[in-house]
Amino acid sequence: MLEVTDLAVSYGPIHAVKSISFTLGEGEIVSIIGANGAGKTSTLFGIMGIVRSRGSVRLRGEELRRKSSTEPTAKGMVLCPENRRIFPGLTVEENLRLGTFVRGNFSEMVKQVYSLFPILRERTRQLAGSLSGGEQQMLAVGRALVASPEVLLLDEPSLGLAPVLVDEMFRVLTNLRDRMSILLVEQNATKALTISDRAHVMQNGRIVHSGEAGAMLRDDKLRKAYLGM
Amino acid sequence: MNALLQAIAIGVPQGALYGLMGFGIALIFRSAGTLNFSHGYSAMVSVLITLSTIQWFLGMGWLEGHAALFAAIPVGLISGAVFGVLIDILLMRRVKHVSPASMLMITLGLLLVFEGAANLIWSPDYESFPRILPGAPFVFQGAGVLGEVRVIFRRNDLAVMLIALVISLSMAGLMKYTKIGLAIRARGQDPIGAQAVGINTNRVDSIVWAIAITLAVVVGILVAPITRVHPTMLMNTQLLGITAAVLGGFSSLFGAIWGGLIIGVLERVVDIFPALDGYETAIIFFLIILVLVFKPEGIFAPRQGRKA
Repeated sequence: MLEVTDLAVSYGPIHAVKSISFTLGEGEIVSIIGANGAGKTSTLFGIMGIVRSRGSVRLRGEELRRKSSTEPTAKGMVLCPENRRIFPGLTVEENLRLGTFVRGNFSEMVKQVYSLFPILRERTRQLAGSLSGGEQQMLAVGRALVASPEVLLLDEPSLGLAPVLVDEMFRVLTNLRDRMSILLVEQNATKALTISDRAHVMQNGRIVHSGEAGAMLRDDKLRKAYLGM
Repeated sequence: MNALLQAIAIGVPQGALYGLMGFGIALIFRSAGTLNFSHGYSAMVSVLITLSTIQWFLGMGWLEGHAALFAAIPVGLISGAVFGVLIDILLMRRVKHVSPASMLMITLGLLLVFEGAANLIWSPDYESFPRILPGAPFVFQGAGVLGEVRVIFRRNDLAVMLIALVISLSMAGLMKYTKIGLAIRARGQDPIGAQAVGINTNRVDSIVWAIAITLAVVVGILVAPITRVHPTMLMNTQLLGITAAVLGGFSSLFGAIWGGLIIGVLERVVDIFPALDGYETAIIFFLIILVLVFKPEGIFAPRQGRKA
């Protein structure tokens, strides 16, 4: 589905991502885990064309032009960014409408999002900035889903959520897997590995370990070395 | 009482121009992320281009009188949009990621470049510019509950008010109901979020610069019959436009329009009192200090919706 080869991202002299390669299969959930500053978010920004990057990104075998995020999004790869990044001064509905800016059928998809997150339906006309943290995270995921992604890139969907909401969020994500492939970036490694098929561990801009998620959960040495748990 | 009515009759159209200027400045500030100190100066060059086009049409004998003005206006407006796009693509895009301060310095530099270019290519002389609606002013006269009233309303101000109203309403419609308007607001509120939904933020910035400078050219063309055309013709309007934006709160675009109207009327009301003559600007800036101290978000800023 998604094939990333030799992706590299630099900010001036700082090499945030140093030539990494990985794939994401149809209907698969793959996680990228690692500490703060390992290059996880830069990887997603590079794939999406939000920051300049070298290397190749192929979606369904087709090379994506990454001059801006417009083409990757329009072709079906949609990012739900870290820290929600919703539009605080726009209403919940306007936020969701913007989710379909280059792709997706708003009137059809918004119903699905509301059935996934019923609380958003009650907040339609409210400004997004007045929502609680959990509701904002649901809105951010909802805004990505209205574009009917084929590949969903999720950056820290559990960040700043109460434990009960984290469980709820991961339950929703698991249910999405038959409709799309998911690339999940998480610091909460245990949670991420539990719902993933495969995982990559990133450290200092490189992938230092790859494997099947279940096996990684059971590998004590790996957990101690890279995941600090 | 009569003096107050007269102050409003002159102040409201004048204030509408400050408001439009402030709207464009606030638009660039919110969406493209810098305070554009060259705002009025780029528009001044476009007014000079408009004037030269008028003279050229007249000189070639192709058009006469007012037809030349109306044929030249689109040229001036388009030149404004082109300036906006060029400033964004050639200058702002390169330093956008560096720091807001570098963008600010560039706009200050541009101010000098535009002023210098105007002096060099045209001249520092004052030239007259035709009114959209020429003719004798309207005089409203009569005796009513307010006593003897006699208010003079300049005919061209009718055009100023109509144009300002139409632009304000269409901008409100653009921002609220169109896809590009929503994208402009989204980009201002969260650039990463905007890119996450596939908005090309560079393109949005170019559009914002084009709209804002074009509006400034409209202001320039409307104000030119009064200030006449010269390199610093829009200095005062730009200054009071920024003031209008501060008064209205940079967080609300249309606050700038209301801010402009308040400043325009205030300027003329101060004139009523002979003791305050010459202190108009000082009083307006004192007002700004009060606003910044007591309500820094601007007097028209929305109450809610700001959260980290």
